[in-house]
This record gives sequence, structure tokens and C-alpha cells, in this order.
Amino acid sequence: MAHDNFAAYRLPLVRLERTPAAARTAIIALLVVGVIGFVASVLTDPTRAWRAYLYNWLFFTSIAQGAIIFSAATIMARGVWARGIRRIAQSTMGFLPIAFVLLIPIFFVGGKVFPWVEHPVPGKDVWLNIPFLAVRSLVLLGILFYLSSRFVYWSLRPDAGALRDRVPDRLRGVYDRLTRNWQGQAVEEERAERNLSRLGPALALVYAVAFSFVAWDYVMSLEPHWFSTLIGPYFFMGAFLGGIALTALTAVICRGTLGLEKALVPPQFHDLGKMTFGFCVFWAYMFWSQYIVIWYGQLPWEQAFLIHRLSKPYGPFALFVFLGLFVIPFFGLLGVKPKKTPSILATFAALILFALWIERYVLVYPSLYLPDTGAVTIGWQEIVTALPFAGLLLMSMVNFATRFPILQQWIPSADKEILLTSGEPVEAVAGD
Amino acid sequence: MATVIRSETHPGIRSYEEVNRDVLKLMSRPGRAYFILLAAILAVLGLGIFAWMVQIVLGIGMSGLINPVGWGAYITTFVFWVGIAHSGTLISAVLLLFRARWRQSIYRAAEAMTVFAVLTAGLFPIIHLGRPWIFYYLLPLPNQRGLWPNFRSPLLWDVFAVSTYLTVSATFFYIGMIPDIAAARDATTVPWRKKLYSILSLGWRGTDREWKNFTRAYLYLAALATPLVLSVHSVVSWDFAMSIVPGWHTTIFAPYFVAGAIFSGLAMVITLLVPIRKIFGLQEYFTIRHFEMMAKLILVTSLVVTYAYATEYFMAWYSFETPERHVFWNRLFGDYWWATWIMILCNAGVPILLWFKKVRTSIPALFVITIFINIGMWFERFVIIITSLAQEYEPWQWQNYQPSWVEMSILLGSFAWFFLWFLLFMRVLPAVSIAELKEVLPVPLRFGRRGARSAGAHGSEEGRGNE
Repeated sequence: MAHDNFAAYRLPLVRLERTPAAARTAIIALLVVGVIGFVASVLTDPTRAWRAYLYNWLFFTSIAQGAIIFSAATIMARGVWARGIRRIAQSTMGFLPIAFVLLIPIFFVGGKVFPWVEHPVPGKDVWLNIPFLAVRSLVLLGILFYLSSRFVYWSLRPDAGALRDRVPDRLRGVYDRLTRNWQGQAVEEERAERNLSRLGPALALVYAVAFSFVAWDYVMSLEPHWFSTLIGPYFFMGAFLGGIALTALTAVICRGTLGLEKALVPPQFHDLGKMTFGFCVFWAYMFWSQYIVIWYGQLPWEQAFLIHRLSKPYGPFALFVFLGLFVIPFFGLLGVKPKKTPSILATFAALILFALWIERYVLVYPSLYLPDTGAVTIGWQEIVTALPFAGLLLMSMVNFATRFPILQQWIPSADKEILLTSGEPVEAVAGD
Repeated sequence: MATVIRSETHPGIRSYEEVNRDVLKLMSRPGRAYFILLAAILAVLGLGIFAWMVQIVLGIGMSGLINPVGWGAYITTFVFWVGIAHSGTLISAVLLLFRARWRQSIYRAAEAMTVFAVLTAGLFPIIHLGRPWIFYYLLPLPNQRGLWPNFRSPLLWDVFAVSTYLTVSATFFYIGMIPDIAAARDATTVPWRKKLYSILSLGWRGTDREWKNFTRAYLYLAALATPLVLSVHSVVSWDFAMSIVPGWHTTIFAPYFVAGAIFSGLAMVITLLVPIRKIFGLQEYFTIRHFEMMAKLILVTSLVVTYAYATEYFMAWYSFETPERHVFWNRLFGDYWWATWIMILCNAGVPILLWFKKVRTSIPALFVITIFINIGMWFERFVIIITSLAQEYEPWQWQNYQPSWVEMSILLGSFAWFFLWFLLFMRVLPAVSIAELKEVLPVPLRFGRRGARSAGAHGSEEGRGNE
């Protein structure tokens, strides 16, 4: 690249050389403890175990897919500020096929999870039956995950070509597959940009539709008489927020462990903080838009949903969700300094992820364990079920980082135009 | 030497000088076409005022409002204009915060449109009152009768939401204009203009301190205005959603209305800017890129609106509630089927064309498409309001509504009123932001070009390039 005008903007092709020992231990511990715990949970109370499984599946799939959509959004919106974190957000890709497989057991234990299996709702059973549920879920999520993988593939491919000759032998096969029919760097970048600009909108559309169905089928249908037109957007925008928080947390961790202090600079964390802050507020807007209409309308079949979540023992959990997803991040991230300080931003991101985990619990459990007939708060069953999911997500992300460059080096030509005039910081120095 | 010496959005503009000249020229002596247009607008406005007078003298019965349909074309038009008002703040404030690189030349016109659209919208609840002289009942004024408005009514929230929006958007509009008014003040030789601009520019001299305070105030106001983009139309939507009328009481209304508002507002910006660009020769300022970016936003919001339509129909089916299902069935195949299909076709169908780059970059195509969208969005509100009220829960109450000539004349008059303000604005105030446009133009000194000398008001900007 002798005449590269953008050398100063190019990020280094950093890759995690090997899985860090701590990560390996954590993954193994999470998986072993989690699987044993889950088996124990199934043996003691299968109904509860599978319900915990459902809400953990919802949470982890949400944040993994949300992160991919976040990366797609910054690419589509030409957010050049985010060029250091796009690839980091894509590192959850490996979890999506796992999530696809992990969904399948739910169809076999549907009777334990979905109230409408045992007590079919007259008329609605056309929609609420396990075979149709399985078909529409698998088809929609299949398309969504496939598009996600294509998207990540095309954003990765130009960099894979640049790195192809320098990867260790164990990755040779992966890189050869990634760079099949290689046509030269310049052509490939152009191809990638064109394909990304086509895949991006498709991915966003399919995301909205597929996750609306997830919200209808795995949240709304748990109270078969309840319906809300906003539940879909509420659910997928929450997932998007989770994706941003996960990205922020991962970016801070990567920065420390991979020595990316030059590539991920405070102005970028400032912007990432703004996104986190903004989508916390947006979550609150979604929440409020749904809440106020139901509360004010006072229709019995609608209000039941709220009453279940506000009465004991679920009330404190719901309150915590509101604090953790809106009030605390709002005041915490209002200033410039907390946004720019990676450790503070990461703390809030972790809080948001935790609150979102509780939020998915509040969406699921009060419908299944009604407050007046034996409510169930978070116990060891719920926690041990979260562990293998967390282990698998962590494993996918670490795997991604050990294979692929965690920063995107190639710059789409549309971004180049913006970089030249935008005054974005040029502190990242190319490593090679 | 850097590779780029032209702004990527406005490649046709060569110097700072040119910006001042072109923008300030807009405010010079208007041609005959301007006065002909003004006369036509005044005639239509006259029709609207006449119709309103008729209604005031003869009573609200002159409108088509009947018993179950107590809200008709007036409320439809109110929501329509509040919606139009949204894109200005979106372009000026939200895109500023997002550091979008293409808002500079269009945001002033869009913002002016916002203010005038709110001014127009505000008329309609008052017209709808029938006895407009008691409009102050809406305000929580202390009074000897001990009567207060019902604070639990969304209609009252609306009063606050809309007046807050008017206040903030007008302030934002004005503050952002101060440096440009100062430039106009320095350039003009007409005595009344000199006096007016001197007062309005608040003694702006363009010192570093003034710029610093200005930039900060502008940013804070933008941050304040951004949530208003969401809140105002949400509150408007709750006028409907809070009630339990089938077809109104649904949770998606707030975001759905906001998206629809931005959708229609952006469409209106394009509808307005296309002729203005032509008449005033602003091709280098409102470039294809601006139109393409707006077209993309229109496409996105159209998809949100389409999603909301689809969800509403699905949920009506899924609810297994008879009134709910009936209302949506009735919309599609009942007496008002034509209105519903116009709405669906214009808002969900026609914008599909915007997927094609060829369409997005064709100004005539955009002009036609956005007119369809404007029509479609008026019908959207019409469908929501009228079809739900006409056939509520009890069939013996059902009654259809037909707008009267009075309502239609006032609707036309409202367009005239809106355009009147806009035309006056174009002649009196700088319709393109001079100061902000320069921020995205290449700095003359830095690129070794002939140093362009701008008007005194922006003297310090050149200095910034030097530092």
C-alpha cells in the first residue's frame, strides 16, 4: 500500500494468539457446573428447569443477535466513529448457530413451558400449537442467523485476505475458506462493501420480523389472552440495547487484554457511551409507551399482565429492571467523563446486561408462575441454567477473537469520504 | 496538499464568499412570480378564513361532525400538521447530535417548516372547539369559578406537549439563526431590514467568546429538543390510545405515530425544497445527496409504519376480540375501504420505489412520491379517527361521517397559511445556514486557496483556520 492515503486511519490486524488460560478455565467451569446444575434441576423439577431454560435462551440469544445488529447499524449509518468496535460486536456470531440448536429442545418440552399446550385457547390453537410454532421459529431464526453469518463473513473477508499468508497452520483451512475465489484486495473491498450494503437492510428487516415473532411466541403467548402490539419492538429494542452493552463491555476487556489503547480511544468510548445512554432512554420510552396505555385503559385482560408483574414477589424485580435499565444508567452516564472512562462505562454495561437478564425473567416467569398461585423467584435453578449459556457465549466470542482480527482494517470507500472531512481522531496507528 | 478540496456534500460551492452572496441574495427584491404566488396563497387562505367565519356564525353544525364521530377532519388535520412538524427538529437537532454530515444546508428550511407547521396545527383544536373564544379553558389558569382542566386527560397533556414543542423549536430555530442574522445585518442597506436584523442579532460580533457560548447553547438546546421529537407525537397518539375505542387503544401507537410523523415531515421537506431549489436557484446548496439521504430516512420510517400496520392487523386477529376484529375488517372492506387503501398504498406501497438508487436520486420522482406520502399520511389519520369512531362497540350507534365543504376549505386554508409563513420567511430570514455551511466547506487558508473574505459576522471563523 505505497500510496495509501488512509494509512493513518487503518487499524492494526490484532488477533488473540491463543485462548487465555483464565478464559479457558472460566468456560470449562461454566459449562461443567452449568450442565451438572441443569441436569440436577431437570431431575428435581423439570417444569421449572425448562422455564428457566427458556428465559435464559431468550436473554443470551437477544444479546448475541443484538450485538450483530448493532454492528450492522453502525455500518449502514456510516458511523465511522465505531470502526474500532464493529468487529468486536460481531464476535458473538458463533453463538447464533448454537442458539438455533438450543431452541429445539423447547419444542419437545412445550407442555412444561407453554400454558396453551395443556389448556388450548379455543380458536387461537390455530396459531398456538407446537408444530406451527416450531416451523415459524426455526424458519425465521434460520434466515436471520444465516443473514447474520453472511454479513459477518463479508465484513471479515477483506481482512482475511490481508492476513491470509500470516496465520498459523491451524487456521489455514478457515482462512482458505474465507478467501475462496480471492480477486485481489481492491476488488474484494469493493465487493464486500457492495454486499454489505445489500445485506445490511435485509438483516435489519428480518431481525425486526423474526424477533417480533420471538416476542409474540415466547413472551406474549405465555399469557394466552394477553396481547400488545408493542411487545415486538419493545423486545427487539431491548435486545439491541443488550447488544450495545455487551459490545461496550467486550470492547473494554479487549482494550486491556489485547493492548488496543491506541486503537480504541476515549472519543470512541464517549460515542459508545452515548449510544448506551441513548438506547437506555429509548428502552424506557418503549417500556413507558406500553405501560401507560395499558395502565390508563384499565381493561382487565390487558392489566393482568401488569398486575402479575407488579405484585409480590415480582414487584421488586420489575422495579430493579426499571432502575437498572433506565434510572441508574441515565444519571450515571449523563456526564462526559463516565462515558469516556472505559472502566466506568464497562461497569454500567455490566449492570445493564444484568438488568436485562432480570428483565427477561420478569417477562417470562410471572406469566407462568402466577403471583397468587405460587410465584417463583430467582433461585439456584435459574442461576445454574444461565451458566452453560454464558459459557457457550464466552466460548464463541473467545473463539472468534483467536481466529479473526478483532479490529476491522479495511475501510469502505463511503467511510473514507467521511473520514477525510469529519475530524475523527487519527490516533490509531497501523500495525503493519 | 490534501486530496479533497471540495465539500463532499456541496461540491458546487467554491468559497465562503459565495455562500454569503447566494444566501443573502434570497432576501433581496423578489420577482413577480413571488407576488403571484403570494396572491394565490392569500386567496386560498381567504377561503379558509371565510369558511371558519361561517362556522363561527352558524355553529359547529356546519362541519360534518355527527354523533358518534365527534372528531373529524379537524383533528385529522391537527395530527397531520403536528406530524409535519417533526422532521425539522429531527434534521436540525437529532442529526446534529449524530454528527450527520449532510444536514447543514437544509436544516434551516426544515426547522422553519417545523415552527410553521406547529403554528398551523395549533389552530385546529381551537377551530374544532366551535366556540374558539373560550379556548383558554384549556389552560390551567386560576379563575374565580374554581374550574380546572382535567389533568388526567391526554387532551390537556397535548396542550402542554405541543406548546412546549413550539417554544423549544422556535427557540432553537432562532438561536441557531443569530450569526446568520448578523451577517444579513452587515450586508443589508435597506433601513427597515437593518433595524430588524440589528435587534434580532442581539449585537452579535462573532468574537471567540460569543462563538463558544453560542455553540454550547446550541448543543444543549439540541439535546433538549431531541426527546421532544419522541414525546410530542407520543402524547398526540395517546389522545387516542388512552381511550378504549377499538382501533385506538393499542400500545404501539406512540412509536408508530412518531415514525409516521417523521415520515410525513421528511416527505413535506422534499415537497417544499424541490420547488424552492428550482425557483431560487439553490441547486448547489440542496444537492442530490441531501435528497438521497432524506429519501433513505423516508424509506426507513415507511418500513416502521408498515410494520405497525401489519402488527395492528395481526394483533386484531390474534386478540379474538370481536370489536377489535370488526374495526380492522371494516377499515379494509367497509364503507371507508377507499381511505384505508389510499393510506396503505401511499405509505407502505409507493415508498417501496425508494429501494432503488435511481429513484432516490431523481428529484422529479422524489417530488411525486412525497406528494403521495403527504396524501397518504393525511388519510392515515383520517382512517384511524373516523373508522374507529363510526363503528364503535354498539351497532345501533353506528353512523358514518362525511367532511363538509367548511372542513375541506379550512383544510385548504391551512396549507395556504403554512405556505404563507414559509414564503415570508424565505424573504426575511436567511433560509440556509451560512455559518454552519461554512463548517463543512474546505477552509480557504488551509488549502492554499485564494482567501475568501466573508462578511464581518464570521470573521472569527477564518481565524480558526489559521490557528
